[in-house]
Amino acid sequence: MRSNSSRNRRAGGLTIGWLPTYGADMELRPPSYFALAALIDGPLHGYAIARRARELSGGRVRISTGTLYALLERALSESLVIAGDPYVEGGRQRRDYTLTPAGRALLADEAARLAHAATTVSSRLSATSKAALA
Amino acid sequence: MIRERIGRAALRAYPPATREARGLEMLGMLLDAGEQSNRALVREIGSLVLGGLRARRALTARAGTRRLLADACCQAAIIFLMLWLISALNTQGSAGPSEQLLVQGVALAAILACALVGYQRIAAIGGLAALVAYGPLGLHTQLVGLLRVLVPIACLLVMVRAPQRRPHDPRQLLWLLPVFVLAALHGHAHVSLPEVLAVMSLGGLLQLLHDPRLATACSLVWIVVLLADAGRLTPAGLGAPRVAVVAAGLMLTIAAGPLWIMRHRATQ
Repeated sequence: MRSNSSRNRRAGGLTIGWLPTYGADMELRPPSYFALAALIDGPLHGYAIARRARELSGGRVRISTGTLYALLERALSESLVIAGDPYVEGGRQRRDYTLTPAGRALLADEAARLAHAATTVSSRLSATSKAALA
Repeated sequence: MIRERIGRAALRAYPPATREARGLEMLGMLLDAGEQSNRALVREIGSLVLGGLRARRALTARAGTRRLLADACCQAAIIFLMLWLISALNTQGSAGPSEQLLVQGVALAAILACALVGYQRIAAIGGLAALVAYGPLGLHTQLVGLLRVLVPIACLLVMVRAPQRRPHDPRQLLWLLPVFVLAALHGHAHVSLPEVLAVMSLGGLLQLLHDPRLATACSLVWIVVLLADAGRLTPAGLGAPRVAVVAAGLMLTIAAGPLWIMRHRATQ
């Protein structure tokens, strides 16, 4: 298992740094998180990944072509996804990408971490608002 | 059809290997995503170009700092040979036919051709031999003159030891064309070697987005140009164009910074 700092350095590296992010200390930035999450239900091609990621994020994350392929390139190199064979659909060349067990595990870790962070902050907010009301 | 052409043009920002592996797929997604509006298409194209430059930068960074510096020295050696050939051809043009100048011109053209095609070790050895035969080396060489020659010698030695790793490509001989054109213009029009170098440096600055090698190579050549001008640079005699040229030279001399930035990126 990679250390958090090394994974953070990778995530903040060459490819996805200019998009809006939650912060440099996150395990996965939102585009990577939602792009990987788009593949939970099964293999998808590039454009379908971008559409699904947008749906899953409630329209907040828009992944453009350049960003998506940089992100997929990195995910492929880290064996988080695997690429299928190219095929033609509607006159366009496509290739489906599938989430690997390592990718699922990373997503599960990230989802748990986000849930924990959300719970922590929510509970503190509730506690302090009750105190403020009292 | 026009959209597809624009998309294909934008894809050229990517390294050839990436284009070959995923180009059509990326083009398909670009056209799908850009179907909604022209604004969406423009956004997608912008993202594709940025992505391509990032991919190229990553590829460059993977070469490592030592390789990048060696490549920059090799490119500087080629620029030295180009400028020397322009100067030699021009001298021949203005001084009239001379067997010695003709031999020198042919020898330099052959050395430069070898370097351009990719036979860089042979070219570097030839360049060093030419420096001894025709260069300003001698017993009465002043310190500044010696320093001027040291940089090209160092670049040629690097070329012998660590030539650029690229396949032999005869198409690179096309670079001889602008050299001959500039040699014809040099002296007749308002074209000087620093101005030729300034044009190359502009290309280097543009490439800095993803590759610092040409800028670094130009920096090395600028050092020689500045040393050549060192004796002549007096406040009274310093015209505005020369100030601009010197300023550009100094700016490029510090352009090696991106090498370090890339080194950090490469180790991530």
